[in-house]
Amino acid sequence: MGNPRALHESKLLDDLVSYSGRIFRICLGFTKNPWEAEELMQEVYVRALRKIGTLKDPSRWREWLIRIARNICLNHLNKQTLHRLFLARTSRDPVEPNSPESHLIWKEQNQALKRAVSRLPRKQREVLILKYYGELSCSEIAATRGIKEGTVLSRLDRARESLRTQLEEIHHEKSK
Amino acid sequence: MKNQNKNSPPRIEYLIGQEKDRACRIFPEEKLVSRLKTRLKAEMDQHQPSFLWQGKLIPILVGVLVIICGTIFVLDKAKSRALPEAKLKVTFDLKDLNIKVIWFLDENLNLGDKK
Repeated sequence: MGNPRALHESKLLDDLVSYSGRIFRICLGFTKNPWEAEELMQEVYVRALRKIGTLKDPSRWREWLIRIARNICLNHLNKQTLHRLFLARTSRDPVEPNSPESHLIWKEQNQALKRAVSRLPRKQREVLILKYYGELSCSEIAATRGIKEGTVLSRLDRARESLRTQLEEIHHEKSK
Repeated sequence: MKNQNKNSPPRIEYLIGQEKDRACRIFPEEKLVSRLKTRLKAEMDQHQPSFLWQGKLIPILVGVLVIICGTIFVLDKAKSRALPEAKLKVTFDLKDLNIKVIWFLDENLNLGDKK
């Protein structure tokens, strides 16, 4: 017979792991690099494993896990900004190209998206990433961030609008 | 305007969808999960508390040893004050130690009586 608490935690851990795809996509939204996203996702789970005993309401593990992911990603981005000030970035190319042309197109589009998303205000960016990359519903985002659903919707609207404008500007600059 | 905003532009969704597809091709879900499980297992093994410390066996043993040594030391001091020339036979057998203590006290009393 195992310890009931340990058994409960191990079941909870299985639930957490089953959510890894979504956490990976949220990390991808923040980093825009699959390799970094995978590393961050693993970091999220390692932290969750260490702090699993502090989870007060096990039924709300999704919000708890997304909050950990958000904090880790934001810390990572802050560190990266500092790092970039002193060292040249030597990250891996996020795509394994199928053909040189498709690779170029993809790279351009990815760069444009990355630039546009990074220019969004932090709160709008978070909501956009949770919605599109994490595929969370507005109520789930509201619960995770501790804000009203209406606030989520308005931030999302503003983020979309701003992103669309920026992407159009980038597109016009390129076509000139 | 509001309705137009709610219907998100396909370009953003298309770009994000494409990015997610590419990432999923590089790291398929099964690969992600299996690598994650390996990492978590390694993490658990690394932070597994050692049995001796978990069961508090070593602190208990250290405590018992300190009590035994302390008792021997105190008894030895007490004996050397009362009878400086006498030697107390020190053994780790607590039962035997008790007998010696009784013997020491009796002899001390006898000496006192003789004086």
